[in-house]
Amino acid sequence: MRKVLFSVGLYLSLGLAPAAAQPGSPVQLEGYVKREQVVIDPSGERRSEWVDPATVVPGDRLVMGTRYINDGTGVIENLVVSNPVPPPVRVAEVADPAQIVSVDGGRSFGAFADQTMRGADGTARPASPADITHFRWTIPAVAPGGSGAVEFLVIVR
Amino acid sequence: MNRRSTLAALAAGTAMVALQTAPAVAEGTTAGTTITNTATVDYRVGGVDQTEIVASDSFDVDRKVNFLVTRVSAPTTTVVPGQTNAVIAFDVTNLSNAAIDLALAAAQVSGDDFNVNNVAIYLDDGNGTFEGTETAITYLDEIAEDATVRVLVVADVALTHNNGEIADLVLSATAREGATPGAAGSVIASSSGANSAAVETVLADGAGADDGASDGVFGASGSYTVSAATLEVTKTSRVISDTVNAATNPKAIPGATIEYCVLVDNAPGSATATNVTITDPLPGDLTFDSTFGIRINGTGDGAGNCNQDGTAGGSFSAGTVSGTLSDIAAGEARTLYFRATIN
Repeated sequence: MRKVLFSVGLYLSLGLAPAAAQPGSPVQLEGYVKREQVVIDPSGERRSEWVDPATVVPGDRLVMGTRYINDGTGVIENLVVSNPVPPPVRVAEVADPAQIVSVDGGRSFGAFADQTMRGADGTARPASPADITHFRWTIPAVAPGGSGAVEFLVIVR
Repeated sequence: MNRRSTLAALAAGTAMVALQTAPAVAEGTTAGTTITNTATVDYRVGGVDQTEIVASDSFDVDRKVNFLVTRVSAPTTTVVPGQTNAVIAFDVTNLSNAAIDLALAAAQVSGDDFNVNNVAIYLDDGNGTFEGTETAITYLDEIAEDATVRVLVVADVALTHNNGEIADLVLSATAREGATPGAAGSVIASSSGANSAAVETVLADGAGADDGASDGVFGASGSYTVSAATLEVTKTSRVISDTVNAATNPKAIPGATIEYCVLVDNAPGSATATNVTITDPLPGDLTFDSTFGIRINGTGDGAGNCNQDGTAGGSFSAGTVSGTLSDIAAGEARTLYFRATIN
């Protein structure tokens, strides 16, 4: 999973306007969902394509993401994106062990690799991706015209 | 799928949790459930915290139609010729994320040894056996998500079938719309074409006994195997003695004593024969030897004659010898023998 995609100027250079005007805010946001579609290319290799979902049913793998664009004139500092995981989905995988997550409903956050869960018998175990309840990303600075996206990979329950 | 992207500025503290929908505890998220992903962004400009902003994306979960038919009974149901109401039990499970109807059909497979008669499908009343009080059905109405329903396929076997013959059949379920309780809905098909605002349908059933994957049909096979006794009856006679030669090379002359041997043989692999009754009218030229009587349940000597190991039994009445043998298991033989004199 790509934790953060910095593609400064990409959307503007493609002529894509931000999703909607955000009155009074230099940051424009757009949420999106893509569904994994496994295709077998002519050489017989399987690879995933991420498509706009025509249908979404239990078991489908989805990417949930948020794009941000700084269309103001000043530098955006300390951009913090907080994203609860919707209950009908579970996180499929976490590529970066240092990804900041919460496994306790947002009460505490920390690196995914450091998270533990306590079982019914009191024993602790490392958290699995499905235990994640919230994601958080911090982008130190976004220059004027800069943009990026944060996203995570889930499976529909 | 109905998809909506929204972008809104929210004052800090607005309860975003309210945008989340509760998960379904079923096999999958219930069709029509809206999944909303909401990201909240805090940031600074020039070192000053700015108003929190929120982006969200919502879509509705579509309907995934999947179901299973599994045979509960043993791989084959053993029947005897002439048996009625022979049962094969199946479980039908709705794995879809929505309630559906399932039309049921029991089809006889061609290429097997025989077809059973009067095939019918009944809704099990909870005990897995058929008592005749169950309701005959052609479809299952409004099967909830993850619900399993047991059905009984019931059939009759004609008297003419032989040991080892097999009748195969397949119980198939076809997905129907569950919109109208009390009636089988229309056949469910996968939604085709472009995305629409409505909840769409994806057929996700597996390949069953004689159907393909994702075709809205799933079947499981069952069979009836005939277990019959395969009886062979041999009747032989030999002269025991005559009035001239006594027991030495006796001839069948008037006054001679004849022993009749009736040998009943059940072939290996057959069902045990029970209640085997032999009746043998004695020809008028013979007089029943009541001193010797009738011996039953002896063994054969392999050459069609009776060993002298039977026990007294049977009866002689109105010129007819009769006797009932004990159960004859597969590969066993039992005898009835008696003596008579030539008039």
